[in-house]
Amino acid sequence: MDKLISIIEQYLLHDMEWSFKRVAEKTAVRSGVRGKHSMYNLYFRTDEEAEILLIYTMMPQRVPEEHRLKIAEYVARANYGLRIGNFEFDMRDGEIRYKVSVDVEGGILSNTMVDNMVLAGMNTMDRYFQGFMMVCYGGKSPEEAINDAEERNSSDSSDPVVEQPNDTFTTYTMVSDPSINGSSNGISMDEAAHLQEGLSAHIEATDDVDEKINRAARLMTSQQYEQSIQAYEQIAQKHPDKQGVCESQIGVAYYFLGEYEKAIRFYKQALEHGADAAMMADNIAEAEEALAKKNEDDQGE
Amino acid sequence: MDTLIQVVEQYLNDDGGWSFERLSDRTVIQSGIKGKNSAYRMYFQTNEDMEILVVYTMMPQNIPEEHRVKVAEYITRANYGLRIGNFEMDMNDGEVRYKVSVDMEGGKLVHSMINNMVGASVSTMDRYFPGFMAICYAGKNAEEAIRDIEGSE
Repeated sequence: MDKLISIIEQYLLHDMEWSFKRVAEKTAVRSGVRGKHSMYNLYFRTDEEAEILLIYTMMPQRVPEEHRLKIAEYVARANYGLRIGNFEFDMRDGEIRYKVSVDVEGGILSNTMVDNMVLAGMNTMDRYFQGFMMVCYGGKSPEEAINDAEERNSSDSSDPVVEQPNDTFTTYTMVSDPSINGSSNGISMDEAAHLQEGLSAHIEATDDVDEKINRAARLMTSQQYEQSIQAYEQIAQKHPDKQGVCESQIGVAYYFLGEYEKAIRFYKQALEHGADAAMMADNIAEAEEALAKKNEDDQGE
Repeated sequence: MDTLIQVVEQYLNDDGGWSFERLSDRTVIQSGIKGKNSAYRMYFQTNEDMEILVVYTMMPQNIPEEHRVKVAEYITRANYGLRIGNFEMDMNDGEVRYKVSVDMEGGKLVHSMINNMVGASVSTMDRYFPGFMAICYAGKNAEEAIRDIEGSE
């Protein structure tokens, strides 16, 4: 059998025509998808010796410290009854991800298996996404938020073959490069604005820097990149200790806008102001790659 | 090709010398296994159309209502970083189980895969079992209980 990581690369390259990048000494692949409610990073990680494949779908937003207990309960409630995969929540830094894994020792990993793993991750993340936001910013209890998420899902479940609401699959736009596909994919501006309105109403007057950062992050996920950049610039001015974080996010926004040189410049600044070195190196490499490809394409025309 | 439930049955016959029973319209097998800290019921449940196999390992005790929120936090902490499978709890009745599942569409389920699913389930359930008890009956909070088991990393 091929190495698991090779199967993943073939799957991404030939089946999905996604752009992706190998990271971490050639045992992990990073890519991204856009659901209805947010964009997510995807990590494919393998342990070739144990024949284990893990697919993580990462939520871009972090949960502020004061909401983590409530989110822990929300996550526990969401996980109950899911058939494929589960949410994971790092209580120390507020990171949320969905894990689907398989141990294929002695068996064969098919492309359909990978496809189903990716879909389960995206679909489930997207179904529960608003609930996470409502617990953090909408003042809902975990129980209310779960009821909303699971009810909403069962009411728009139209596929009669599917017997459990947890398995309803919807169609997703897969983004290879968000700057090329632009805002014609994913959520509409109206939907985004609507979502923002409900959520940001609660934090309009906040002085809490974490909430400001999350707000800026939501502008990013709803593809309002220029506004997001503005928001991060304001935060960086007021909170010098967050300068690194903000600059790295401004870099990401410029990346999505296709302005790769600016992205690289901000990543490098972020590095000087304490942003995670490995992550910045990764991001810079990604932007350089995109820049090289763009220059190539420009010459080709 | 054999159905998933047939492969599971062959595995239980050949590899384990297990006693087991088919339930519910022949898509579920019930069995049991003994860990170091407790014995656990196991369910092998299949959806043959979707080619999904789910293995559940059940904790014998239900969590009393007043401890469920703490245990929810414990489970969330325990789940973080597990490679294969996860804990889940029914907040309505306090039932705790460990789930390992696989969608085999287009692939082939072999005995070593089932063996690894069972192994991951029992070892993880058994490892975290004392923490559940410490929260319910020894007044520990979720963070302490996790630290006792995972150490301070």
